[in-house]
Amino acid sequence: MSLSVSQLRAAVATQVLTLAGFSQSHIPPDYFGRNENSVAHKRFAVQMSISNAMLERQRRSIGVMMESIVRVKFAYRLRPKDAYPTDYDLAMDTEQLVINSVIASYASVQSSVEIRYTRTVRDITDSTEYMLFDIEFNAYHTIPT
Amino acid sequence: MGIESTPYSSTSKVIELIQREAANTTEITIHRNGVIVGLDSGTYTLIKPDGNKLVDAAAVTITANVASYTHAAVDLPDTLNLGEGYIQEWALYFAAGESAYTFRRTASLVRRRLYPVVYDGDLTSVYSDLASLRPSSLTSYQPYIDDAWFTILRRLRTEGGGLEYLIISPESLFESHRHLSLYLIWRDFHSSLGQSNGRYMDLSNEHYRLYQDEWKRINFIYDYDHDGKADEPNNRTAKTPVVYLSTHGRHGNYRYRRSRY
Repeated sequence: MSLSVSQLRAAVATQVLTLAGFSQSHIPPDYFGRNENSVAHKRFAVQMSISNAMLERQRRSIGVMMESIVRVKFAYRLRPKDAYPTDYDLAMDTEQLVINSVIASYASVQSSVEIRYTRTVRDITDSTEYMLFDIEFNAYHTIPT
Repeated sequence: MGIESTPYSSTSKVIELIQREAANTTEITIHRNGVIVGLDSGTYTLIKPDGNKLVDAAAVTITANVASYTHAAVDLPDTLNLGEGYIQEWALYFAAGESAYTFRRTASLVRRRLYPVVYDGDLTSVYSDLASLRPSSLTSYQPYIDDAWFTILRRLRTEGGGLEYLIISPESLFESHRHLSLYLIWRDFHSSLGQSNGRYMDLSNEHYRLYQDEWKRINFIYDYDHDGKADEPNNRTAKTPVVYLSTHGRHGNYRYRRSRY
Protein backbone atom coordinates (compact mmCIF):
# COMPACT_ATOMS: atom_id res chain seq x y z
CA MET A 1 0.00 0.00 0.00
CA SER A 2 1.50 3.34 -1.00
CA LEU A 3 1.08 6.92 0.08
CA SER A 4 2.11 9.91 -2.00
CA VAL A 5 3.88 12.88 -0.49
CA SER A 6 0.78 15.03 -0.88
CA GLN A 7 -1.40 12.36 0.72
CA LEU A 8 1.01 12.19 3.62
CA ARG A 9 0.87 15.97 4.04
CA ALA A 10 -2.91 15.87 4.01
CA ALA A 11 -2.96 13.01 6.51
CA VAL A 12 -0.72 14.91 8.91
CA ALA A 13 -2.85 18.06 8.50
CA THR A 14 -5.97 16.04 9.26
CA GLN A 15 -4.40 14.82 12.48
CA VAL A 16 -3.55 18.39 13.56
CA LEU A 17 -7.02 19.62 12.64
CA THR A 18 -8.50 17.33 15.28
CA LEU A 19 -7.05 19.68 17.91
CA ALA A 20 -9.31 22.40 19.22
CA GLY A 21 -8.86 25.81 17.66
CA PHE A 22 -6.40 24.75 14.96
CA SER A 23 -6.94 25.84 11.38
CA GLN A 24 -4.85 25.44 8.30
CA SER A 25 -2.92 28.36 6.91
CA HIS A 26 -3.73 29.59 3.43
CA ILE A 27 -0.15 30.65 3.02
CA PRO A 28 2.47 28.03 2.02
CA PRO A 29 4.58 26.79 4.92
CA ASP A 30 7.75 28.38 3.54
CA TYR A 31 6.10 31.76 4.11
CA PHE A 32 4.20 30.85 7.23
CA GLY A 33 5.20 34.09 8.96
CA ARG A 34 3.06 36.06 6.53
CA ASN A 35 -0.19 34.93 8.13
CA GLU A 36 -2.32 37.83 9.25
CA ASN A 37 -1.80 38.59 12.91
CA SER A 38 -5.48 38.70 13.67
CA VAL A 39 -6.05 35.07 12.68
CA ALA A 40 -2.63 33.54 13.24
CA HIS A 41 -3.42 32.00 16.61
CA LYS A 42 -3.20 28.19 16.17
CA ARG A 43 -2.81 28.52 12.43
CA PHE A 44 -0.59 25.79 11.09
CA ALA A 45 1.01 24.56 7.93
CA VAL A 46 2.54 21.18 7.10
CA GLN A 47 5.75 21.45 5.13
CA MET A 48 7.09 18.47 3.23
CA SER A 49 10.64 19.61 3.48
CA ILE A 50 12.94 16.89 2.10
CA SER A 51 12.42 13.33 0.93
CA ASN A 52 15.27 10.84 0.73
CA ALA A 53 15.13 7.40 -0.84
CA MET A 54 15.57 4.47 1.49
CA LEU A 55 18.20 1.87 0.63
CA GLU A 56 16.10 -0.78 -1.04
CA ARG A 57 15.47 -2.16 -4.51
CA GLN A 58 12.69 0.25 -5.52
CA ARG A 59 10.58 -2.36 -7.34
CA ARG A 60 7.87 -0.72 -9.44
CA SER A 61 5.29 -3.15 -8.20
CA ILE A 62 5.81 -1.94 -4.64
CA GLY A 63 6.73 1.74 -5.08
CA VAL A 64 9.57 3.87 -3.79
CA MET A 65 10.14 3.73 -0.09
CA MET A 66 11.37 7.00 1.30
CA GLU A 67 12.04 9.00 4.37
CA SER A 68 10.40 12.43 4.28
CA ILE A 69 11.06 15.27 6.64
CA VAL A 70 7.68 16.67 7.68
CA ARG A 71 7.60 19.99 9.47
CA VAL A 72 4.52 21.25 11.23
CA LYS A 73 4.65 24.98 11.77
CA PHE A 74 2.16 26.72 13.97
CA ALA A 75 1.73 30.02 15.78
CA TYR A 76 0.53 30.55 19.29
CA ARG A 77 -0.53 34.01 20.38
CA LEU A 78 1.00 35.39 23.56
CA ARG A 79 -1.36 37.74 25.36
CA PRO A 80 0.49 40.99 26.05
CA LYS A 81 -0.17 40.90 29.78
CA ASP A 82 0.43 37.16 30.14
CA ALA A 83 3.17 36.53 27.58
CA TYR A 84 5.59 35.03 30.07
CA PRO A 85 5.42 32.62 31.78
CA THR A 86 1.66 31.87 31.57
CA ASP A 87 1.18 31.82 27.81
CA TYR A 88 4.76 30.69 27.16
CA ASP A 89 3.98 27.51 29.07
CA LEU A 90 0.54 27.13 27.51
CA ALA A 91 2.13 27.38 24.09
CA MET A 92 4.54 24.54 24.86
CA ASP A 93 1.68 22.45 26.24
CA THR A 94 -0.03 22.98 22.90
CA GLU A 95 3.13 21.94 21.09
CA GLN A 96 2.99 18.67 23.01
CA LEU A 97 -0.59 18.14 21.84
CA VAL A 98 0.51 18.65 18.24
CA ILE A 99 3.35 16.16 18.57
CA ASN A 100 1.08 13.54 20.12
CA SER A 101 -1.48 14.09 17.43
CA VAL A 102 1.00 13.83 14.54
CA ILE A 103 2.67 10.63 15.77
CA ALA A 104 -0.70 8.96 16.26
CA SER A 105 -1.73 6.00 14.13
CA TYR A 106 -2.16 6.42 10.38
CA ALA A 107 -3.64 2.95 9.93
CA SER A 108 -6.71 4.34 8.24
CA VAL A 109 -4.54 5.89 5.55
CA GLN A 110 -1.68 3.45 5.22
CA SER A 111 -0.72 0.75 7.64
CA SER A 112 2.98 0.92 6.88
CA VAL A 113 3.52 4.65 7.34
CA GLU A 114 5.54 5.50 10.38
CA ILE A 115 6.19 8.94 11.78
CA ARG A 116 8.77 9.80 14.39
CA TYR A 117 9.27 13.07 16.20
CA THR A 118 12.71 14.60 15.67
CA ARG A 119 12.92 18.09 17.16
CA THR A 120 11.24 21.44 17.76
CA VAL A 121 12.56 24.92 17.04
CA ARG A 122 10.76 27.57 19.07
CA ASP A 123 10.90 31.26 18.38
CA ILE A 124 9.09 34.40 19.44
CA THR A 125 8.37 37.18 16.96
CA ASP A 126 9.99 40.57 17.49
CA SER A 127 6.61 42.03 18.33
CA THR A 128 6.23 39.43 21.14
CA GLU A 129 2.78 38.74 19.75
CA TYR A 130 3.36 35.16 18.71
CA MET A 131 5.40 32.14 19.59
CA LEU A 132 6.27 30.18 16.46
CA PHE A 133 6.85 26.46 16.53
CA ASP A 134 8.63 24.47 13.88
CA ILE A 135 8.18 20.81 14.77
CA GLU A 136 10.13 18.31 12.69
CA PHE A 137 9.16 14.69 12.10
CA ASN A 138 10.65 11.90 10.06
CA ALA A 139 8.06 9.96 8.07
CA TYR A 140 8.73 6.59 6.48
CA HIS A 141 6.36 5.79 3.66
CA THR A 142 6.14 4.37 0.15
CA ILE A 143 5.02 6.44 -2.80
CA PRO A 144 3.22 4.73 -5.70
CA THR A 145 4.98 4.21 -9.03
CA MET B 1 -3.03 65.77 66.81
CA GLY B 2 -3.42 68.37 64.04
CA ILE B 3 -3.90 68.08 60.31
CA GLU B 4 -0.85 66.97 58.40
CA SER B 5 0.07 68.16 54.95
CA THR B 6 0.17 64.64 53.56
CA PRO B 7 -1.58 64.82 50.17
CA TYR B 8 -4.16 62.09 50.54
CA SER B 9 -6.05 61.31 47.35
CA SER B 10 -9.82 61.11 47.33
CA THR B 11 -11.79 59.37 44.61
CA SER B 12 -13.08 62.14 42.42
CA LYS B 13 -12.79 61.25 38.77
CA VAL B 14 -15.71 63.37 37.64
CA ILE B 15 -18.22 65.76 39.13
CA GLU B 16 -20.58 63.91 41.43
CA LEU B 17 -24.10 63.76 40.07
CA ILE B 18 -27.03 63.69 42.48
CA GLN B 19 -30.37 62.88 40.97
CA ARG B 20 -33.27 65.00 42.22
CA GLU B 21 -36.32 63.25 43.71
CA ALA B 22 -34.46 59.95 43.97
CA ALA B 23 -32.50 58.11 46.61
CA ASN B 24 -28.79 58.63 45.93
CA THR B 25 -25.85 56.98 47.61
CA THR B 26 -22.64 58.89 47.30
CA GLU B 27 -19.34 57.51 48.55
CA ILE B 28 -15.70 58.36 48.88
CA THR B 29 -12.48 56.47 49.51
CA ILE B 30 -9.15 57.94 50.50
CA HIS B 31 -5.94 56.55 49.05
CA ARG B 32 -2.31 56.81 49.95
CA ASN B 33 0.65 54.66 48.90
CA GLY B 34 -1.55 52.48 46.76
CA VAL B 35 -3.91 51.41 49.52
CA ILE B 36 -7.20 52.65 50.91
CA VAL B 37 -6.69 54.71 54.03
CA GLY B 38 -8.48 53.35 57.09
CA LEU B 39 -11.39 55.45 58.33
CA ASP B 40 -12.67 55.74 61.88
CA SER B 41 -15.68 58.04 61.43
CA GLY B 42 -16.82 61.08 59.51
CA THR B 43 -19.55 63.49 58.55
CA TYR B 44 -21.05 64.58 55.26
CA THR B 45 -22.28 68.04 54.31
CA LEU B 46 -23.94 69.11 51.07
CA ILE B 47 -23.89 72.83 50.41
CA LYS B 48 -26.29 74.39 47.93
CA PRO B 49 -25.21 77.00 45.39
CA ASP B 50 -26.67 79.75 47.60
CA GLY B 51 -24.45 78.67 50.49
CA ASN B 52 -27.15 77.05 52.59
CA LYS B 53 -26.63 73.50 53.71
CA LEU B 54 -28.91 70.82 52.36
CA VAL B 55 -27.24 68.20 54.55
CA ASP B 56 -25.38 69.43 57.57
CA ALA B 57 -22.65 67.24 59.09
CA ALA B 58 -24.61 64.01 58.88
CA ALA B 59 -22.80 60.91 60.08
CA VAL B 60 -21.41 58.77 57.27
CA THR B 61 -21.57 55.00 57.00
CA ILE B 62 -18.17 53.33 56.81
CA THR B 63 -17.95 49.90 55.23
CA ALA B 64 -14.54 48.43 54.47
CA ASN B 65 -13.06 51.94 54.74
CA VAL B 66 -15.46 53.34 52.14
CA ALA B 67 -17.42 56.29 53.52
CA SER B 68 -20.92 56.70 52.14
CA TYR B 69 -24.01 58.76 52.65
CA THR B 70 -27.47 58.08 51.26
CA HIS B 71 -29.72 60.99 50.32
CA ALA B 72 -33.35 60.04 50.72
CA ALA B 73 -35.60 60.98 47.82
CA VAL B 74 -37.65 63.25 50.07
CA ASP B 75 -34.51 65.24 50.92
CA LEU B 76 -34.05 66.09 47.24
CA PRO B 77 -37.44 67.63 46.39
CA ASP B 78 -38.31 69.17 43.06
CA THR B 79 -38.14 72.63 44.61
CA LEU B 80 -34.35 72.44 44.56
CA ASN B 81 -32.59 74.17 41.70
CA LEU B 82 -31.13 71.83 39.17
CA GLY B 83 -27.61 72.34 37.93
CA GLU B 84 -24.13 73.18 39.07
CA GLY B 85 -22.67 74.66 42.19
CA TYR B 86 -23.36 72.07 44.86
CA ILE B 87 -20.43 71.19 47.11
CA GLN B 88 -19.87 68.02 49.09
CA GLU B 89 -17.72 68.21 52.18
CA TRP B 90 -16.52 64.97 53.70
CA ALA B 91 -14.96 65.45 57.13
CA LEU B 92 -13.22 62.15 57.78
CA TYR B 93 -11.35 60.92 60.82
CA PHE B 94 -8.59 58.44 60.10
CA ALA B 95 -8.23 57.58 63.77
CA ALA B 96 -10.17 58.35 66.92
CA GLY B 97 -9.03 61.50 68.64
CA GLU B 98 -7.34 62.96 65.58
CA SER B 99 -8.49 66.00 63.64
CA ALA B 100 -10.76 65.51 60.66
CA TYR B 101 -9.47 65.76 57.10
CA THR B 102 -12.05 67.58 55.01
CA PHE B 103 -12.31 66.61 51.35
CA ARG B 104 -14.40 68.78 49.04
CA ARG B 105 -16.02 67.64 45.84
CA THR B 106 -18.19 69.52 43.43
CA ALA B 107 -21.59 68.09 42.68
CA SER B 108 -24.50 68.74 40.37
CA LEU B 109 -28.15 68.23 41.09
CA VAL B 110 -29.59 66.65 37.99
CA ARG B 111 -32.85 65.47 36.57
CA ARG B 112 -31.22 62.43 34.93
CA ARG B 113 -27.75 60.98 34.89
CA LEU B 114 -25.99 60.20 31.64
CA TYR B 115 -24.96 56.58 31.24
CA PRO B 116 -22.51 55.21 28.66
CA VAL B 117 -23.62 52.93 25.84
CA VAL B 118 -20.38 51.09 25.05
CA TYR B 119 -19.79 47.61 26.41
CA ASP B 120 -17.36 44.75 25.74
CA GLY B 121 -19.31 43.45 22.76
CA ASP B 122 -18.88 46.77 20.97
CA LEU B 123 -15.12 46.33 21.18
CA THR B 124 -15.01 42.69 20.10
CA SER B 125 -17.31 43.49 17.19
CA VAL B 126 -14.43 45.55 15.81
CA TYR B 127 -11.65 43.12 16.77
CA SER B 128 -12.85 39.56 17.01
CA ASP B 129 -9.57 38.44 18.56
CA LEU B 130 -9.78 41.00 21.36
CA ALA B 131 -11.60 38.58 23.65
CA SER B 132 -8.76 36.08 23.44
CA LEU B 133 -6.18 38.80 24.10
CA ARG B 134 -7.80 39.85 27.35
CA PRO B 135 -5.37 39.70 30.28
CA SER B 136 -5.99 36.76 32.60
CA SER B 137 -6.41 39.21 35.48
CA LEU B 138 -9.55 40.67 33.85
CA THR B 139 -12.92 39.17 33.07
CA SER B 140 -13.88 42.04 30.77
CA TYR B 141 -12.50 45.26 29.33
CA GLN B 142 -14.67 47.28 31.69
CA PRO B 143 -11.79 49.15 33.43
CA TYR B 144 -10.69 50.60 30.08
CA ILE B 145 -14.28 51.42 29.11
CA ASP B 146 -14.85 53.20 32.41
CA ASP B 147 -11.62 55.14 32.21
CA ALA B 148 -12.46 56.27 28.67
CA TRP B 149 -15.92 57.33 29.83
CA PHE B 150 -14.56 59.45 32.69
CA THR B 151 -12.04 61.02 30.32
CA ILE B 152 -14.84 61.96 27.92
CA LEU B 153 -16.95 63.45 30.70
CA ARG B 154 -14.05 65.56 31.94
CA ARG B 155 -13.17 66.66 28.43
CA LEU B 156 -16.75 67.66 27.70
CA ARG B 157 -16.57 70.12 30.55
CA THR B 158 -13.02 71.37 30.09
CA GLU B 159 -13.61 72.12 26.42
CA GLY B 160 -16.95 73.79 26.94
CA GLY B 161 -18.79 70.94 25.30
CA GLY B 162 -21.67 71.14 27.72
CA LEU B 163 -22.96 69.40 30.79
CA GLU B 164 -23.13 65.67 30.36
CA TYR B 165 -26.39 65.28 32.27
CA LEU B 166 -28.17 67.60 29.84
CA ILE B 167 -27.33 65.36 26.90
CA ILE B 168 -30.45 63.43 25.99
CA SER B 169 -28.86 61.30 23.27
CA PRO B 170 -26.18 59.12 24.91
CA GLU B 171 -25.48 57.33 21.62
CA SER B 172 -23.94 60.58 20.38
CA LEU B 173 -20.84 59.72 22.38
CA PHE B 174 -20.69 56.10 21.23
CA GLU B 175 -17.98 56.34 18.58
CA SER B 176 -15.66 58.56 20.55
CA HIS B 177 -16.13 56.38 23.61
CA ARG B 178 -15.40 53.22 21.66
CA HIS B 179 -12.31 54.64 19.94
CA LEU B 180 -10.93 55.97 23.20
CA SER B 181 -11.52 52.61 24.92
CA LEU B 182 -9.70 50.80 22.13
CA TYR B 183 -6.89 53.33 22.26
CA LEU B 184 -6.41 52.70 25.98
CA ILE B 185 -6.48 48.93 25.49
CA TRP B 186 -3.99 48.78 22.63
CA ARG B 187 -1.71 51.31 24.28
CA ASP B 188 -1.69 49.27 27.47
CA PHE B 189 -0.93 46.12 25.49
CA HIS B 190 1.89 47.88 23.72
CA SER B 191 3.35 49.08 27.01
CA SER B 192 3.86 45.45 28.02
CA LEU B 193 5.89 44.45 25.01
CA GLY B 194 9.11 46.37 25.54
CA GLN B 195 9.53 47.66 22.01
CA SER B 196 9.08 50.98 20.30
CA ASN B 197 6.67 49.93 17.56
CA GLY B 198 4.42 47.10 16.48
CA ARG B 199 0.80 46.24 15.74
CA TYR B 200 -0.52 47.25 19.15
CA MET B 201 1.19 50.61 18.90
CA ASP B 202 -0.15 51.12 15.37
CA LEU B 203 -3.67 50.28 16.50
CA SER B 204 -3.49 52.57 19.51
CA ASN B 205 -2.31 55.44 17.32
CA GLU B 206 -5.05 54.72 14.80
CA HIS B 207 -7.78 54.75 17.42
CA TYR B 208 -6.45 57.88 19.06
CA ARG B 209 -6.60 59.61 15.70
CA LEU B 210 -10.12 58.31 15.08
CA TYR B 211 -11.16 59.39 18.57
CA GLN B 212 -9.88 62.90 17.92
CA ASP B 213 -11.64 63.04 14.55
CA GLU B 214 -14.86 61.77 16.08
CA TRP B 215 -14.58 64.21 18.95
CA LYS B 216 -14.64 67.15 16.55
CA ARG B 217 -17.86 65.88 14.99
CA ILE B 218 -19.86 65.12 18.12
CA ASN B 219 -23.30 66.62 18.23
CA PHE B 220 -26.19 65.69 20.43
CA ILE B 221 -29.72 66.46 21.49
CA TYR B 222 -29.57 68.74 24.46
CA ASP B 223 -31.82 69.97 27.24
CA TYR B 224 -30.70 73.55 27.84
CA ASP B 225 -33.40 74.47 30.32
CA HIS B 226 -33.28 71.33 32.48
CA ASP B 227 -36.91 70.50 31.79
CA GLY B 228 -36.20 66.91 30.79
CA LYS B 229 -37.22 67.43 27.18
CA ALA B 230 -35.20 67.87 24.03
CA ASP B 231 -35.13 71.57 23.30
CA GLU B 232 -34.65 71.13 19.58
CA PRO B 233 -35.10 67.47 18.71
CA ASN B 234 -34.62 68.12 15.01
CA ASN B 235 -31.64 70.37 15.44
CA ARG B 236 -28.67 68.71 17.04
CA THR B 237 -26.23 70.73 19.06
CA ALA B 238 -22.55 70.67 18.18
CA LYS B 239 -20.28 69.88 21.08
CA THR B 240 -17.90 72.72 20.35
CA PRO B 241 -19.62 75.71 18.88
CA VAL B 242 -17.65 77.91 16.55
CA VAL B 243 -16.92 81.22 18.18
CA TYR B 244 -16.23 84.12 15.84
CA LEU B 245 -14.07 86.74 17.46
CA SER B 246 -14.58 89.24 14.65
CA THR B 247 -17.73 91.01 13.51
CA HIS B 248 -19.73 89.80 10.54
CA GLY B 249 -18.48 92.69 8.43
CA ARG B 250 -20.31 95.52 6.78
CA HIS B 251 -21.97 93.40 4.14
CA GLY B 252 -22.50 90.31 6.24
CA ASN B 253 -25.70 88.42 5.73
CA TYR B 254 -28.18 89.23 8.43
CA ARG B 255 -29.06 85.60 9.09
CA TYR B 256 -25.53 84.92 10.24
CA ARG B 257 -25.50 87.83 12.66
CA ARG B 258 -27.70 86.17 15.16
CA SER B 259 -25.89 84.26 17.82
CA ARG B 260 -27.92 82.03 20.03
CA TYR B 261 -25.47 80.43 22.36
